[in-house]
Amino acid sequence: MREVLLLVRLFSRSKARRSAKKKRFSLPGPVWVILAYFMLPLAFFLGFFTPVLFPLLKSLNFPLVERGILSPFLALDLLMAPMIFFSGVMLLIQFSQSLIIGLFDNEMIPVLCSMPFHRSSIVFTASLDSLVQTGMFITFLGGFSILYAVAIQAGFFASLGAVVSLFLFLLGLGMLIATWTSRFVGRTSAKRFTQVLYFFGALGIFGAPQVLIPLSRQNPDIVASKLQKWIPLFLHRFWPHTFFLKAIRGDVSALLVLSSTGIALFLLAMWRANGIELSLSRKKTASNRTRVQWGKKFPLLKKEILLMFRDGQMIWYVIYPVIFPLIMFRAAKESLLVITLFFTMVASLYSSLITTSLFAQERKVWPVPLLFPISSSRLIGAIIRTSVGLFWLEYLVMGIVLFFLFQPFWAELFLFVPVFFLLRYGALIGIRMYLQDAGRDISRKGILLKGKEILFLEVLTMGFSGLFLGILLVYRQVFAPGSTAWFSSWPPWLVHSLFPGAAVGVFVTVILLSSWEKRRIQKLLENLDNT
Amino acid sequence: MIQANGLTKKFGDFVAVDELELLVEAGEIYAFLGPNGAGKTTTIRMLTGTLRPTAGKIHVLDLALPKNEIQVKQRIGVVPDEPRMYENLRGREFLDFVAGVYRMEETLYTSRVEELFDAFSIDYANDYIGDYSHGMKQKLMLVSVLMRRPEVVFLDEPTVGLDARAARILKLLLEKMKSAGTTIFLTTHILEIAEKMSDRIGIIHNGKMLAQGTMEQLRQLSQGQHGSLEEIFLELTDSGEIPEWARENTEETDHA
Repeated sequence: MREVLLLVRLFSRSKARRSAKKKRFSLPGPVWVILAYFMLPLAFFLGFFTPVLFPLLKSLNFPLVERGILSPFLALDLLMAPMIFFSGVMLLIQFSQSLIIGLFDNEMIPVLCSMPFHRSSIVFTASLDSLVQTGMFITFLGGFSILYAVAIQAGFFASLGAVVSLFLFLLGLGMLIATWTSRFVGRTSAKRFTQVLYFFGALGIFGAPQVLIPLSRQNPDIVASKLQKWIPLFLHRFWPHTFFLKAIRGDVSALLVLSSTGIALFLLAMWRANGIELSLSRKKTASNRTRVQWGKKFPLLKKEILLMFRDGQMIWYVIYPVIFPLIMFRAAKESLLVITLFFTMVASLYSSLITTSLFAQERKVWPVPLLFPISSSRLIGAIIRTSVGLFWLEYLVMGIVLFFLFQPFWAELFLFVPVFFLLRYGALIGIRMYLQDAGRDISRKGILLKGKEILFLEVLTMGFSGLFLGILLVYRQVFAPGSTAWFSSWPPWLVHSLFPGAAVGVFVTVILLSSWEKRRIQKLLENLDNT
Repeated sequence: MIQANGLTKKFGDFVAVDELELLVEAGEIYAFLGPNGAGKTTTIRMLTGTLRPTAGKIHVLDLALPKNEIQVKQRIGVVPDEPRMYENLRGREFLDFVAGVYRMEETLYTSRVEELFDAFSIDYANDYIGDYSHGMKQKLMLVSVLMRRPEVVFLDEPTVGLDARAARILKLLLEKMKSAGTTIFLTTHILEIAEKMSDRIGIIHNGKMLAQGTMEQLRQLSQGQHGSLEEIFLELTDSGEIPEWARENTEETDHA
């Protein structure tokens, strides 16, 4: 136990970020990390899930058999089972992959292995560390369990026992999966997989209210009959979550089975951990001969695209600007202009975040990029072109599809021109901001910019996009049939000169600011080359 | 081939390289030696166009730096002190990228890479670089440079992390490249390598060039008092007396 406590302290201290400035008051580094992983999901859960889910669960708190469905479960079990199942599976996968990274991509591990620590203590401490990183799924799994227990008014100790047993079960199983999969999953693949999973998990969770809200508006009997087809699939008696739901309801035998399985799995994982080889045994390539592929044309572009699509966070950045307008499809009222507004506001911000992330990858290998016969400005140019080009292509495809779908006003087709410049401005400002503190600590995954910088980026990128397209949107209202907008009474010449004039003004400002950012980047690069 | 006159680099008040004079002839192996922090890597960074000097002139392949930075970089090869490469690329993809940047001819690229993979026993090029050990990365970095057969090669501590076989292969390859007319500029802390392989040796300390010449010239410089490069190096760099206890231990071990 002493050993584990010592290791926990060591692991948590290593999370503290180096800072030259001493603050008068600050929370310890690990507390910030834990808050960062748990606060946002918790806020979302309390803000969006609880108000919708809890009344729904309460309304479904009746035995299925009362409605003529032959099953020992409650109607709300039909809703809870898939939610517990999916959040548990996500937690399990993310936890095991994070553990692989924690064990095999951690500079401290070889040092700790050379010290008189039990391997099981190291693995256990690393698993606690990895659990923190699965904060989103823990919050949701824990939250679902609490809401379920409160909805059915379950006993406190039965609920607590069930929750602890389930977490022990998942922890043990996750550790076993991690030790087993580490034989053939490299840390790089594990990292990517974890990031992608996190973002898709987030997308699923943030999208879940879209399913729950319509359900909550329906008659509980209709909901129960709709969901009854899930009984054989999600409420099979051998599923761990079935035992879990039964245990919360006070079924002692279910609690015993779940807790003893959890303890057994955990002990097995600890026993296996003592014999684990804490260095990755790489899989050998299928053939000893390496097939050399040719990448002569556009090597920079090819490299940037490869790096972009191997980083889960960047994949998210690429797909979200398309997903967001699709989510807001109904709100868009079949308007290409509104869709463009949604897209550009998100894409211009993400364009800056992608360029920042790609440049951070160059900084990680610095000064190697300088050894190539490529100037730093060409290197930065390739990064900007890749990010802007990709979003622009996304917009063009989306725009063409929506044009045929909505058949909007022909002039809206030309929106691709300002969209390009807004995306480019976002990319330039991101790089400039990064370069202003090029020696920043980027050792912590996913944290490249300071909070203040991100806020500044959001204001500028989303602000200019919103302003430009917002003005056009207001201008269009003049032509809307039966428009009652306050400017409808203005003389036509004023409306036709004021709104397009303002939009052109914003557009010109963006172009001027872009060239100003470009000059600043050039200066910062010259300084960077000299250090 | 490589020429530096009055080469100086200051970081604030700290003088990392101080009026260095250097001349490396075509087709020679030049070993650039010095204690830790002497200014070797800073010098290499200036000679390869990745760091601007505070003062002084540099000519590589008769082209002035930093004016002709891109042309010089096109013709030289550099193995830095740390083999940092994009962790999310596979080894093969990194080589593809390098070949693309230098516009290598396809068949030449393929055959040379195969040859070097064989020589360095590389069978992991389809794995992610992030999963490589230091030695594996170092071998890949060497392949990425040697496959191009540059006219001038700069190697900063090239044997660090390499196993005995790979280090031996590297030495043989450097000899072969030298006989083909390649100029090789290398830094190393393994004085035996410098003594056996190099045509000329330069010793830098606190940013200043203390001595340079052939092994014979360096011996003459020490007025024949010292026979080995190690002794000459320690005397010139004034690295301090070897502690008595260390000598005793050595003697005890020898007797045993």
